[in-house]
Amino acid sequence: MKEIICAACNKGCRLSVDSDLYEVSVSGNECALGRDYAVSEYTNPVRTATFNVRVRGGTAAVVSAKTDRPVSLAKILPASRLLKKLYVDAPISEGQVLFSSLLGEKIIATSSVEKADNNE
Amino acid sequence: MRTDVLVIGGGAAGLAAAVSAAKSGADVTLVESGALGGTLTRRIDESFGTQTFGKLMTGREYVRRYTDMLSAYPRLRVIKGVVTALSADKTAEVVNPKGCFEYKAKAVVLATGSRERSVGMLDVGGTHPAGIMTAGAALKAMNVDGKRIGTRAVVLGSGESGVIATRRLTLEGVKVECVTERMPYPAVSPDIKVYCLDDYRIPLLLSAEVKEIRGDRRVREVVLSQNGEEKTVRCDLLVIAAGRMPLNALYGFIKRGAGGPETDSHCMTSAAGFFICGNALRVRAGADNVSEEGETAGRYAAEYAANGAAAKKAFWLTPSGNVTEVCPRRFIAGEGCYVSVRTSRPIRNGSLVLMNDVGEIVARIGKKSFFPGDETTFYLTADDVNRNLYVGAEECL
Ligand code: SF4
Repeated sequence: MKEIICAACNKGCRLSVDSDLYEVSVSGNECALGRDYAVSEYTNPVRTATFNVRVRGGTAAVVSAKTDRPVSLAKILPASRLLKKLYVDAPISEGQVLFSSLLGEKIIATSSVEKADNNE
Repeated sequence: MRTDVLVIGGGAAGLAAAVSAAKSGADVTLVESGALGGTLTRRIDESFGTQTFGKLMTGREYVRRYTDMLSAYPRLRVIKGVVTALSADKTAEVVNPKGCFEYKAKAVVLATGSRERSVGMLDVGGTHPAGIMTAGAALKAMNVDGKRIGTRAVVLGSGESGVIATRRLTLEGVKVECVTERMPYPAVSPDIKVYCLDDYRIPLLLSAEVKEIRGDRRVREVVLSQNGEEKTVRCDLLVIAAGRMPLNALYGFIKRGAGGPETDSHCMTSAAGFFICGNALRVRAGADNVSEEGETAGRYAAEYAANGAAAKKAFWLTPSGNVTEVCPRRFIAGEGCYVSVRTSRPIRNGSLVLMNDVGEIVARIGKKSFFPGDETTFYLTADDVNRNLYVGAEECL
């Protein structure tokens, strides 16, 4: 059994989730949203993850980025570690796909970075 | 130079105020010293916009929505500069690299935001070497400058900025040993706590304090105390998230109560024609709420600039019992408005209680949860508030 505080609205009901071989049961929820939330948190929590990605040749050292959809929580730390080894090249515009498949997920830029003037 | 509405500060509150004043037809001057968007430009996490734009987005995307709107109004100017003086006759002195300029406005919106408490303002012993920074500075270093700021960290304070910084540190490869919270409960709403701490199994120590910082040139370890027990945690970074204070140096001539300037439901202060909104008024969580307040301030500032003051009857709302803050404090008679309250302790499933001056309950409103780190907002109608009232909160049975 697991205790979860429902985050589907700001009421914050305390939910208990339990499961047997056949089904996941939820109690403590005051509405159907709470049930869905608890089942998803219990079985496979998903989040939209945001990251900084290093930039080569840009006016900023990093560009902010996010997954294009909520992804399994279990993927987020591994993805962040992988991203630490990667670069993208400037210029970058908001909404651009930076990586089309990083652990199977699409990573898109949430800000723009211009190309740095190269007159050194 | 003359302008109808002068907006001081271009963060979430000031941007919304400038756009709404311009939309109401006013000639608007927005003064910002740094980047438009203020502290939101450091927020790359997706926590904004559901209320304002009906869509969840990052702080940066949220700011760009607003900056895109600015160009639609030819009578809205953005001036880069610092307001160094503001007088009660609505004259502001603006300094920037091109010189010093004077603006004479018909209405002024103060949207100057807040400043973080630094380690020097706290009661922490020991040395103050390198490796101590506020949560905002940590976010800026990571998200704007792309710097690596440590390897092992302790975060002091479980408010929104503390837990958001904790998650970012974790995703940037810094191990957060623990987050400490002085109070016996988290200073952030349960959902944000889940997304920032529980998701990454970061320990939250309640009723805990950082007693001492050790290290010569760089932080080496901190001493924590929790329930009378002390323990030492090795780390090279201490992040201070001990709350923020409104920036209010500019307007000494505006009357303040215990909780800062007391505004009416149009965001107007006791000084006619001076409006205040966002974190400059009171520190709050969530840019969407701040934008909404900025929009109110901008709209009524434009109206004031066009028509001058119309004396409006207002009733006082006074915090009582476990309610520590009520905003606005003056409720304009005959109009409904959103009222936000903060409580001194968490209340699950509580109602807002309105009392008359002899303590009799005249109404119970809503059924919501209260968390000390956040405010809870209720819509009160003109019928709810038709006299001076005391505002409390109590558990629903
Ligand atoms: S169960 Fe329903 S009412 Fe309770 S917190 Fe979740 S969404 Fe809100």
